[in-house]
Amino acid sequence: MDRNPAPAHAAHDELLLARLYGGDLEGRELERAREMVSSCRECAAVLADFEAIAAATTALSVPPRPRDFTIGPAEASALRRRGPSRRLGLRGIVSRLGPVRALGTSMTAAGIAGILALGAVSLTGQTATTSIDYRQAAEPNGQELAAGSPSPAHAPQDKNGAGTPAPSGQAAAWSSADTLAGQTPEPNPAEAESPRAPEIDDGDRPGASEATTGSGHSEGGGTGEAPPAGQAEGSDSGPLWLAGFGCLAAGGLVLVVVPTLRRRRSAGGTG
Amino acid sequence: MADKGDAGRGEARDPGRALDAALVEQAQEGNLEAFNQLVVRHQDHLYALVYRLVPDRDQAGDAVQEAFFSAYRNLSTFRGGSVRSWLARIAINAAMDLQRARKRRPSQPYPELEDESWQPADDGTAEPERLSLAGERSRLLVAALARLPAEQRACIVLFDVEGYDYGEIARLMGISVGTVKSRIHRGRVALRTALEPMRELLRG
Repeated sequence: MDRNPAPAHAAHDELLLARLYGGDLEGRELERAREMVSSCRECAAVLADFEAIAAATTALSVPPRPRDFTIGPAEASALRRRGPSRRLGLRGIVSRLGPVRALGTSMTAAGIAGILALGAVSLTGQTATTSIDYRQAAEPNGQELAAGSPSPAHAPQDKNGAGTPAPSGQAAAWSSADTLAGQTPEPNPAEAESPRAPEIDDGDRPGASEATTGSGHSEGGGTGEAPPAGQAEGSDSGPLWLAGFGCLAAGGLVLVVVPTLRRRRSAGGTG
Repeated sequence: MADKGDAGRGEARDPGRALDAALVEQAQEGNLEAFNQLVVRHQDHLYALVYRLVPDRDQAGDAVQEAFFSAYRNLSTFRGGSVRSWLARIAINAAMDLQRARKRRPSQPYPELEDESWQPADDGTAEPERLSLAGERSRLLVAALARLPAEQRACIVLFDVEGYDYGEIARLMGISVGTVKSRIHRGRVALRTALEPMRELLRG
């Protein structure tokens, strides 16, 4: 065998020869491939190699079948029982992972999902709380909210679009921050041009961090309204839920990791 | 050169089709004995097929057993046609599942590549040197096949060994004919590159 093929052959496309061998060429490609084979000894050898490899693959011997694959009556009756777990593919998961690891995986997934859900809920609560606090801070004096107020040109639109201003802070509390800002008196056009003004202002405002945790509602505006019941409950029981989901995920991880480590140790011991 | 996609190369090798159809019908009615006759008729072929896709005797055996279990569970979904192809499709899926699982745990090499415990059957007429060469050729080829991507290996085995045409392979594997062709051609080039140093041995 020539290990250093001719320079001309180096430019020849072996894939084209494979397609020629597979009978998948026609037109100009077929002519080109035939030309390559007839004019280049290496290309002809490549084609012969394909032939030899295909023949050897076909003739490849297979070891004797290790067992009989017929199905016994007990297996047949087990296979005929199609419970909901099989329909859902749960048995496949359990058989692949083993029951303990499958349980651990499920627990970990549930724990992580719970933590994520808690995070989403707290984020939603934070947004709503920020809006409430923002409104409550603005209503009494209109000073702090000046930066978040819309331009005079926007003000009538907002009033029309959002309807009449809410009669009470509670009613308006669940509107968006922009709508609330539109109800604020004494707009400052220069500052209100910035669309990010409310966020900046909220971050700088004293008591904002408390507001995000749902505990500082009265500090900014001093209205003295109680937060919605759901928020109060969420803030009280949130850490408990978080701890619960964390324990669930951690317990699941233990159930997944320990059998895996044991298996590796035993594999290392036997190997 | 290889035949150009002549329709139904694999189907043409299916002489017992009528008997298979009758056995499936009986099995669908709950006749386990009929199903086991199907198993007996096809287990050698399926094992040989799966072994070429998963060059590990034990794992190939597991895949074939799972394929027959799956076939038994899904007897009601058989809608006619070639039982051999239906079983082959199930076995290929089982083998590919196994390949994917192996891919997730790449630390386990194919033990068969180092296993010299079995040799091709000696019919008593072959010369020892010839047998030895055949064994060596087989070992090298299996090793080279094992290093191909599973999809390319499957397409080459189905085309060269099983005799399926491009369309049949596309149906069996749920891919397009163009993809089948591409995998076969690329696989051939890769196999040749891997076996180039042993060219003379292969031609011997």
